[in-house]
Amino acid sequence: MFQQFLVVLGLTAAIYMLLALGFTLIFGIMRVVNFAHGEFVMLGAYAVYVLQDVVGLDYFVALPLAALLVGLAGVLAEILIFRRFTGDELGSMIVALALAVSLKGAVTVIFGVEGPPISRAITGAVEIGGTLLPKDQLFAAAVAVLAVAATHLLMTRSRLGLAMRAVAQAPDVARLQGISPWRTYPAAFAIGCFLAGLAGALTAPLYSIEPHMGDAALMRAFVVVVLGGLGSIPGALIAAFVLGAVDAGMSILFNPTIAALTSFGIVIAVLIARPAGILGRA
Amino acid sequence: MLQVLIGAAAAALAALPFLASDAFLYHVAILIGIEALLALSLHLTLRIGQLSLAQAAFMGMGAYASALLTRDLSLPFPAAFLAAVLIPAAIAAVLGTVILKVRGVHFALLTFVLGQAVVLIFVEFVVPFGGNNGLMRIPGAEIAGLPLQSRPAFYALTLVVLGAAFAVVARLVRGETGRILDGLAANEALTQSLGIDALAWRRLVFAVSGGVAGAAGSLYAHYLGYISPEAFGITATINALIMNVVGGVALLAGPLIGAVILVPLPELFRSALLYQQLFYGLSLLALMLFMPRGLGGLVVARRHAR
Amino acid sequence: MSALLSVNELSRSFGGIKAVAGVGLSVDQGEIVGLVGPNGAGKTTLFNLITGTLKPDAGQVVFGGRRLVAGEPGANARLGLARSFQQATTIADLSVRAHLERAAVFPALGRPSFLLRRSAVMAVRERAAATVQEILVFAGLDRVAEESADALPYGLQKILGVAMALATGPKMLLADEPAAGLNGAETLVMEALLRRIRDTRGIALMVIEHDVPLVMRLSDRIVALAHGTVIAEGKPAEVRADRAFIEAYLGGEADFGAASGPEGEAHAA
Ligand SMILES: Nc1ncnc2c1ncn2[C@@H]1O[C@H](COP(=O)(O)OP(=O)(O)OP(=O)(O)O)[C@@H](O)[C@H]1O
Ligand SMILES: [Mg+2]
Repeated sequence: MFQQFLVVLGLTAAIYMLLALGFTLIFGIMRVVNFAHGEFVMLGAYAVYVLQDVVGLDYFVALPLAALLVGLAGVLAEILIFRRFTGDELGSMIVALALAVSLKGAVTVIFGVEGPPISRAITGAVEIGGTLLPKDQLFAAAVAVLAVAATHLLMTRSRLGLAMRAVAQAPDVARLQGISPWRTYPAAFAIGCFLAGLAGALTAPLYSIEPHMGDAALMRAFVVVVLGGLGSIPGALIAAFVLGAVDAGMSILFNPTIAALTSFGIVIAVLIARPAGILGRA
Repeated sequence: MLQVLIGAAAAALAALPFLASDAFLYHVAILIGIEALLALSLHLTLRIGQLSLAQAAFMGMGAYASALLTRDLSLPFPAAFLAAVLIPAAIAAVLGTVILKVRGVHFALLTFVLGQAVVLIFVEFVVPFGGNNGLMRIPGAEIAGLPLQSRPAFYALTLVVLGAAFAVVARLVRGETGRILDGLAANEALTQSLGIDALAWRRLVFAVSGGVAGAAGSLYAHYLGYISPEAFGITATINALIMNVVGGVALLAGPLIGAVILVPLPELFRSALLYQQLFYGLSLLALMLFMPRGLGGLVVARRHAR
Repeated sequence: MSALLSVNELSRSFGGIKAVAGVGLSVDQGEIVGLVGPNGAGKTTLFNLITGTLKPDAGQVVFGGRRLVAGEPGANARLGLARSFQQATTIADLSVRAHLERAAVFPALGRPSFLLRRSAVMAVRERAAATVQEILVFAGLDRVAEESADALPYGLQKILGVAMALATGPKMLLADEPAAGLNGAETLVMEALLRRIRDTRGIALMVIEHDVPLVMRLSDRIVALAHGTVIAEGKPAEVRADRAFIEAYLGGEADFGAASGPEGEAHAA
């Protein structure tokens, strides 16, 4: 029982981290609450479906390609839409909601309300420590952890990452030092949406895909990010584990609805007591 | 001048179905009224500089309260309607004391999660809420033995409720109280230093917004005769937001204008139902991008959000 | 006679910074107390704690014999504790008269419960026009009464800030750097206005000011703050001679004759 719990926790937390990372990155750097984050996850799932089941590519080619395509879509969204609402919290929330509704609507029109069946490239299971683990879930969790680690390195070691963090902390100072927010903002969206798309493409074969799948993804990202503090990457990582534990534990003990309600309850309490999140800057 | 125009438009709207006596027209007009109420409740939260994404959840509370009270407890419709207004209003007032201290994006996030939580509660607690299937066989509206099931009669009821709601809201956002709310939105620190209790006023507005949403829920439940949780999710709130933006966030008539423009489209073109979300989303995007000037109210709200 | 305002062991920190650390002071009826201290000493934070805009970590504020509730600036303002702000602020693009009208009426409207006691509010409303007219004249704003407050010169905006506080009918006025950003002539006008507020209305004043000569002329008593604590207190002449004050505030090199505070120019922008 406990081992099963730990395994479910590990797999869930890895995916939650990935889901939350792009969301918190975009908020941390641009102060944009991307209500369309779930839709970028959904786009990743549909992209991998199209590339794999319609075009006929191998899953391992389709996966990175789908994530890249979604990253590109993110850049377009930043340039065409979000840029005009820089510094306008309410306005950017509303356009993000508008974008979310539009993307959902577009996918519904193209692929239908039900969502197409997607074939599973990875099958079978391995036994680890007496527990039978599906290989596809293991693969998804492993890629998620790799992606999170790579993003962490990118943010802390690369010039681009440093520039993005400089812009996040003090846009005006950064501008004086020759860092242009007009280059870092699309980069933030590119990375944030790439990660969202990757999450969608990774989980698409695990669950079914449908136009509204982004809602659940957004809720997960929300909960993790709020717990960890909007914009805080280390916070998101820790919160993913806390939430994964709550989710896995409550799902095993009760049912997924109770699990969701519990995590919502925690989020509501945290938002009221410490709007900046448990680990966020006050 | 504008007021006269809006008044004339509202009068024409009110008279239209009576003239045309077409059942379908009544149907659309009733839906417009219900959606306009929900949009009006969201308008109120925007007036205090807070984007509440839990308005559809308040509508749900009203709908479930009204349905359960009439169906299972056999309360008369007027009493159930009153409860459907008062229960969400009271919940909003109590919640507001705590959540209205949270500002900006965090408030939007908080109400988003709250709204989803309420929907989950409707889903999880099969007794009394009926779970995913919701509630069926909700009795029709009836006042003092006079049945209001027929569409013209229900339309008249909707008009009365809508008119009353607009009257209450107008009283709140205009005149003396309007000055207080505008003051809080424009410069909270200064307005408070002049003796205004910001939280108390915001809470009042939030409670009224909950009550208006609850009224929409009661009408919705008794008009359709069945309700289910997903009708009160985030999508409904976003549609209400779109109506506000389309109608003009600064205008009290904005929610009504938005509902009149947006509600009939999918109803008129059945095949367009598939396209509804895409259409709504794209119109909101286009308005935000290309008509920001038309959205006078957002400018006020924007300044505040900074 | 007991003090009008007394502050006890008031403390508040932000993150690691102790902005106000165990401050105690009192102000008598009709007294003018100057609050001085270098930038970041915690002067504005102290005002925010007294008015209830901020909640203290510890300590209490007693005003007119009542303990004030932290976090309720509106209620405290209605008790007669008015303030003006360090930076001139207006409500919106409204006329000077409209600003003062709001200031005169708002204290009666404080909470939504006013909707239930209309007669008392009606009385205030009837008096408001006369109050506003009187204050326009008193503050020398009558010639610009119908102009937009946003379009006024900075000096007049600061005067409007004080006049709005006055229109609430206070027992005490907390003025945060009333002369910051004003030129020499405007400073003299402000000084005269503040003095008249006490002399003709008996309103007690607490004035934060970087303009040391001005605050020394104006005040009956000076409280000097540094790093969130009171480092000197007494008659202006005593404080001026106080070593701790000279070192903390002036760093030994400052110029007593400077017309405006270190931040003066920044605010004028
Ligand atoms: N809301 C806040 N959050 C974090 N730190 C704050 C906040 N308000 C004030 N501080 C800090 O508290 C300290 C005292 O600030 P305060 O504004 O009270 O100083 P002051 O004496 O009014 O200075 P000045 O003469 O520049 O107006 C400063 O270090 C300031 O940075
Ligand atoms: Mg200050």
